[in-house]
Amino acid sequence: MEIKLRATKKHKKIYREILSSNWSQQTIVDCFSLTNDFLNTSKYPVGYSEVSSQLRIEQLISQDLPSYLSPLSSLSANIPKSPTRIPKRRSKDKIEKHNLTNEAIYDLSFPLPLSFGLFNKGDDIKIIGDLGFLRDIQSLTFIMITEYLIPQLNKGKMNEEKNYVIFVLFVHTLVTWYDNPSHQNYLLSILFDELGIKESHRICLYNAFKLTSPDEHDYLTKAQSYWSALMDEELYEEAKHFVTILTRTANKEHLEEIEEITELTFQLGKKLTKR
Amino acid sequence: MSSTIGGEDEHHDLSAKEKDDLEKKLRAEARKLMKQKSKRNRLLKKANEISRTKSKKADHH
Repeated sequence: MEIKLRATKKHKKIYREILSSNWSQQTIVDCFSLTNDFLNTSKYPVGYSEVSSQLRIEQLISQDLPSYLSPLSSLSANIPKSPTRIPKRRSKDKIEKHNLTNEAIYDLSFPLPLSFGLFNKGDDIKIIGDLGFLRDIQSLTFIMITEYLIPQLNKGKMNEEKNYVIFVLFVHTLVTWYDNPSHQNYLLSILFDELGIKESHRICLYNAFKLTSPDEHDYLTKAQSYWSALMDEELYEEAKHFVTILTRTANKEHLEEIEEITELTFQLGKKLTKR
Repeated sequence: MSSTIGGEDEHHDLSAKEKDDLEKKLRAEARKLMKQKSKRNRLLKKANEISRTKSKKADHH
């Protein structure tokens, strides 16, 4: 069975609009809506709206996926254990958050859920079409989940859903971005930050920076992200050294911003050493 | 600054000029918020997502 997904001009316009809009709680819903429309463009619609009634997200647990995480558990006690069963939520607020979590998990782990009984077991499912577009929406969804969904799950003390989401974020990063180590490291850095594993957060930011050419748009953004992490940790000498290297390697058009970063490094560093 | 690697579909991504303007503005805002880690990082995540080279159309699933 062939599932052909097609990104229309309208989908791409919405994607660009989401990218440059003022991000808020609503943006995660906009991402879901775009993913849903896109996944429903096939002859066999596979958007969350079409399949959610036939799908138990917890079926993911029964697969072998938790084994992906076992090497990571040695890094920190903050790495969640393989997700356990999610309790039945009763309050309106928690049901809403639970449903958001389910859609987040479906969208981010797509096309994996397709093998969990949506079609006949014998069907050989092949997904073709605008798959680059799919993973770019997934990348945006990944960030929305960490910015807007996880804080809500924390607030509602919904640890089971949170562990589940984190588990899926890890799997998504490892499986989907294997061929783009710069972005893979960037997404991992976000996840490690979420889990409070500071050293791994910094290492992944540095890797993402090193794997980006000075000619790329995101070079200076990645540099500033790593520098910010060093300053957060009060690693002043490392930050100073990094800025010196950056001045030597960056393109001319970035020098003005790098000068500002250099000044900030000395200003904030002085405050630190005075304490 | 423009890039020619990947993201060959012009409708898929923002233009090089749009990227340049937005990412520069976001980085500048982030530098003003050095002490507010959460807000600052959100701006940098957004700048990164805007500016990174988007995926090619190659099948990956």
